[in-house]
Amino acid sequence: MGTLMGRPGLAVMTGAAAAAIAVSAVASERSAWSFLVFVLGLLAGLAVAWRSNESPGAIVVAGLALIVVWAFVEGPPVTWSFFLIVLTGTGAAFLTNGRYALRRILGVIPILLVVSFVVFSLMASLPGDPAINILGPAATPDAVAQVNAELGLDEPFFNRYGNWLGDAVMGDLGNSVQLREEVADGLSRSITPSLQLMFYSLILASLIAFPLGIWTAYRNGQRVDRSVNTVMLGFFAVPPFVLAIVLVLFLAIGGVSIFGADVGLRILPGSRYVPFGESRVDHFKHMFLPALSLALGQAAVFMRLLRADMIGTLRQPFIDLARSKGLRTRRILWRHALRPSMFTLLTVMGFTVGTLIGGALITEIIFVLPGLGGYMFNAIFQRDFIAVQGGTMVIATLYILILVLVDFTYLALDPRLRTGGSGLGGDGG
Amino acid sequence: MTAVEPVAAPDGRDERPVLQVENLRTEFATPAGPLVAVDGVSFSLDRGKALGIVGESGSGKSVTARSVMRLLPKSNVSSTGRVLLNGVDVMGMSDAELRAIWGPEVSMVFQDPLGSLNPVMRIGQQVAEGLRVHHGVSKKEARDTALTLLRSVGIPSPEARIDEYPHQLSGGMRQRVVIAIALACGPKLLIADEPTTALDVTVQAQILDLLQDQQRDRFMPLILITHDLGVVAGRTDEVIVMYAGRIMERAPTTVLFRDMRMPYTEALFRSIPKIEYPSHTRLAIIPGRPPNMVDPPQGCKFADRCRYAQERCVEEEPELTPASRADHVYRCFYPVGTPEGDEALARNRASGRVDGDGELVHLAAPSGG
Repeated sequence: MGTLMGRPGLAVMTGAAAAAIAVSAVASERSAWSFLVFVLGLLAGLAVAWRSNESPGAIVVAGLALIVVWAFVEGPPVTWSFFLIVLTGTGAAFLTNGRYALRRILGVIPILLVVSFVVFSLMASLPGDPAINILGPAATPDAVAQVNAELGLDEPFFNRYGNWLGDAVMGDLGNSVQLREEVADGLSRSITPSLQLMFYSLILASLIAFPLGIWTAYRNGQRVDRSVNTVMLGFFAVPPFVLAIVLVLFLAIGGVSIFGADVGLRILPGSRYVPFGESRVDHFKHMFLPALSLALGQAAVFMRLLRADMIGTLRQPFIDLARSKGLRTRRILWRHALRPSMFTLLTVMGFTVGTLIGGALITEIIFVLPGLGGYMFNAIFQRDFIAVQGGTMVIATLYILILVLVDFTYLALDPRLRTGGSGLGGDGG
Repeated sequence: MTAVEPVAAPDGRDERPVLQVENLRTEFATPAGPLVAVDGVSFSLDRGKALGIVGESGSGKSVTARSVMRLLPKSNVSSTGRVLLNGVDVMGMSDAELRAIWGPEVSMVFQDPLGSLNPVMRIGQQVAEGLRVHHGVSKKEARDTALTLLRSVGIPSPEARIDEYPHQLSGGMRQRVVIAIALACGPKLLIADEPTTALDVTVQAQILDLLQDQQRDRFMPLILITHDLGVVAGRTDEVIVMYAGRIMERAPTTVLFRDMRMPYTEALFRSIPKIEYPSHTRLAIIPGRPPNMVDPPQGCKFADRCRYAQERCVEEEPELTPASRADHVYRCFYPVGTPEGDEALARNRASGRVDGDGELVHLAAPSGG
């Protein structure tokens, strides 16, 4: 009886989340009313989810929806939204299978330690001397030694690693020599467009992939199925940057002519990044094309995976039973067949989307987005080791968190994986 | 028990059968050519009666049931014939009309209780869903009705169980839930397609008793499909024995067990373990397998596996013939328990086709070997 046992835990979690959000809201001097809206919304969502006896999946969805709403009202740093999403997922996971969630979260720590060690060793073994980078090629050996001592670079390797790791855990990733700012500041500035691009392309890709995947699975082998597959395969085969350029030409710049006929539209603005806080409408206008150019290729993959699993699900006896109840096809597809068909899709979604955190360099360049890809690219070419090190750690951490989140989403999708609540609950049925 | 839906009262005036099936023929399009899974099946079912359809796997009994409900996929299956459900022609119905009768008019209990419940939906939701769709009741009402239904199918403490998922229930409990789903909208005809095949032997009798109780309490006609003659004995009013998509014998249940004519029925009967047998008695098996229905043999479809078969059986397919009473028909030239049958068996014994214990030795049609 996972749900019954989980209920006291749910209340505790809601309280804790509200408190955490309150503290962070006060700390960041955000306007009180929007914060209140968020907390009330969260409570309302949880209450609805609870009352309607819904699964943790509904709680996660409610949480995600509220984070999005909150983002619209207040426009928090995107990183916050990201961690809130991870927090929501983790909370729901704790409620449904506490031991598993704990194991999974604790398991992240050794992974991050290994990643950090590898990153640090690689950077330390790269050719080039940071002191010479700072002082210039004409530096005297004495000056180099002095800078090395100031930076702590004369200490043994493990001491340096320990110092760096200790600082990194506290949020201090060191100073970028070239940019003359803290690496953490530069990263948090450039991670915002990257995470936004990631979220938006995921949403667009899902909006395309889910209906198409379900539809083609239902029409398996028929003409619709074949033509949709062909078109989507085309989108997949074209590199995203080519799609990006084509989209820009057709939708933003205009003036494209085919056989003399003007087919270009000027409905979207050109390449520039507008922060969410500056103008929400302009922000989405400017982000639409970059997100779409990434989403089309992803959507093709997502659609194929969903279609394949869905075809298998539609052969299951429970689909026959659903039909024999006299349900509409749409209801059978979306309510009965979709959820059990999403496992492969979710796994691949995690990998695909995670790759975008630092890996959308070309799209960032085409659309002039000051994202993490560009930041890392510049840091590498300027031999800004500290920045590269910090950036790699941040990207790796986010990536691993996304994968953990995907694992937790399985709990929401499949009740068979749930064993009951955390320490607050029992062992379940 | 608590009646959930208005139960049709025994009504002597309405003599019209609930279900009339005439000359039903169902074909599957396969790469090898059309496969005739059901060929010329006719029967009718009166109000409040229980009909058993018995046969091996692949005999067409499940396809018959699904054709009657028109639950088969449209893309590669075509059915012809007439199916009247309460006087209304099912074969001509549109998808929307079919959806409207699935649940309130006719519903089905499926074979595999784990596979037929959605693994990611709470059982309460699955029971209540049909009610919400067909009767437009509120969530609360649907839940209350689902509770009553779960109680009536013998789920202990349904208040606790209603929010569980199928994997939290045992096989027998799952099948009770499947039955509750089928009963949810108060169907006027229930089809149970091998409802106990996937269950433990100890649970089988409970589920069959439950079906029988529900059938009697609701005065609801029931079609019970099974491969086990023992299951229909004492639980149905009439039995149809099917083989290779055809009705081989049809009789009131008591008549069939007392006076079976069809060698195939006899073969099925001989394969039931009997309590009076000494332990470790070898059961008679039916050797061989049903014919390939893409390219079926010309004569009697059972001939090559039949102890009684003669040359005539291979060349010519017998028609359904009435036995001593009009409601008992069979499809055989050398029926069991008649002089013709005894003579045919004796001849086969003499030729070595059948051994001294009466078991078939050569697995081929008589003219071929």
